Amino acid sequence: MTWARLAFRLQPSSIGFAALVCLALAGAAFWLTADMRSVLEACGTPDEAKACQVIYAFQDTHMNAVYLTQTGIGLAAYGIPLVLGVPILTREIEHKTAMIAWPLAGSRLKWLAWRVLPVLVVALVLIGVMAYAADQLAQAYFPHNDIGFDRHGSRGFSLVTRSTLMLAAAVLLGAAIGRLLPALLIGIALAGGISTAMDAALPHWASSAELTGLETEIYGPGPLRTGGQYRLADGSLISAQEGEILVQELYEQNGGEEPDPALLPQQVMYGIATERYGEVLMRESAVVLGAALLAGGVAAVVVQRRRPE
Amino acid sequence: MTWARLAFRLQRSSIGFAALVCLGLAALGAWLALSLPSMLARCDVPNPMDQCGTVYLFGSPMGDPALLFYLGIGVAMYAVPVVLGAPVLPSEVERRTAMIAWPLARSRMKWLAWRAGSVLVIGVVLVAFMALAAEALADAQDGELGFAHHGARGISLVTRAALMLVVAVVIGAVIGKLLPSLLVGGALALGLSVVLQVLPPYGVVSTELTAAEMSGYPFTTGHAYRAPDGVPIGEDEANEISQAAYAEYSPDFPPDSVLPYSVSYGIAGSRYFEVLARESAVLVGATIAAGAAAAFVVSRRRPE
Repeated sequence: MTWARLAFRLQPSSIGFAALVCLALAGAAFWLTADMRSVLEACGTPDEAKACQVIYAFQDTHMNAVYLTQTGIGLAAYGIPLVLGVPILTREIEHKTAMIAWPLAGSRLKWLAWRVLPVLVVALVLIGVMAYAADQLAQAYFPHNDIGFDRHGSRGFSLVTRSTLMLAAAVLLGAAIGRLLPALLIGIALAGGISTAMDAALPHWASSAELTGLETEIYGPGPLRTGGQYRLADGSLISAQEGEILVQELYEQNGGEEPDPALLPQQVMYGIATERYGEVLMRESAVVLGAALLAGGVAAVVVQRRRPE
Repeated sequence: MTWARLAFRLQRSSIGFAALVCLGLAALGAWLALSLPSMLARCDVPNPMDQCGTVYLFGSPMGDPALLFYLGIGVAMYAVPVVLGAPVLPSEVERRTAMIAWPLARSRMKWLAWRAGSVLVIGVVLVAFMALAAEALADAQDGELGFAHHGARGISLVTRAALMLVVAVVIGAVIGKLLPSLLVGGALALGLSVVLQVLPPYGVVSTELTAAEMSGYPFTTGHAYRAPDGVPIGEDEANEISQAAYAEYSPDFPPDSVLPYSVSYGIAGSRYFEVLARESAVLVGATIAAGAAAAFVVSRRRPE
């Protein structure tokens, strides 16, 4: 474990911060998971809690703590790679040690690999623990459902791939800019961009279709909902807004009472079904890891070409 | 304005970032404040436009932009001071320019006053633009502001940001390295924001709020119950009286005159400036104390 010790010596504050944040958030997530699961142990007995029967099992008791932890994990997924990746090159350039280290190393690429890989391994271990804890937390919060797309990107493998891309992008930024503070500030904007782009791309990894059964509910875990329409009695489709106006008019015509259900338009939800989550995750992961490799390649080119000061 | 040019040369990226964020948010706030009256007027018709539905959710028909603006203000009021204040000392210590600058300056105090003072002035001016825009937006949404958006508009925003900036300077002076200072500064900003939520109302005495005061954005400090005859009672007693009343009048609802009612305690919105004045005094005092701590650290630490 000499490489890990050396990596820590070169970046004690970044790695210390990453370890503290990741392990604290993972600890909070594991604790909440265990607490919620302990409530369910009484299910089936006369003393069973409300959580045993409803989809939003822990909304009244754990929602705020779970939401806070999940928000922290969502921020750490980008913040940790940024803090770990940006200083790798900037530190060497600002302290002018690159002027000695680069000529001394046989090749700049080997030097880069040696500097980046230990940090990548440390990051993957820490973020992996946090991602696993976040996954368990999301499943514990909805104990009676397949969580599907719920909290996608802030738990499990999708969190790890996104963090890997952010780390590679952070290394590239540090290499291109060469100064810590500007690289960190641009990195924050880039993290916002990557997160937004990932969320915007999510519905496009698989084709959207009409959802069926319980997945037609407007809220709740499971499918990725992309839109809604209303279907009239003759089978024709109208927009959600037109449907709501029609429902409102039918109620008004009926003096505020519930109209004949046959006259009411039926809500139709579109999206990607829960069972296709694995397919979407695989496609997204392939693209994100490809982008991470590309960013790493560009960082290598930048390091080979830039002046060490 | 030579000092401002020199400060910018020494902290280009920090000041550039602060200017971009503060002026960007100020422009967004000003645009929202100017657009809001006309949008509200368009909603006040028999068939309002779609966005008018969000009036009830977000207090304005702008929905997301207004929400994003306040979210941005909440983050920027701490992030901008950390980014401006934390690098002041570490940039000199890490580049070893402090070893030249400190002996050359006749006194380290003067040097610090010039270096941190210029950044503080720039920071306060930039944050003030943001605070003014936030105040204008809040004012456009509702004339009777009271405690609404307290801490995210006007003077309360500026004093909080100034304290955070000076605290960030102290952190930079103590640690002497940029990245750890930024990370510790971020954690401390989180702590400071929590403390500033807990501190009000700064010793201002709470009173029972009337119905009119409740609609004027008061600062609520607690709730209690009163029996139908007005005598203060506990929550359990209130529940018992309610249950007995419902049982007596079942299946009809009991009249309000036999039911206990809840009352709220706090500071009425009309007394906002009383709390604001006390908070400003506390925060300015804390800022001066932090500045003194920074001076003490700089006068004692080694320049490397």
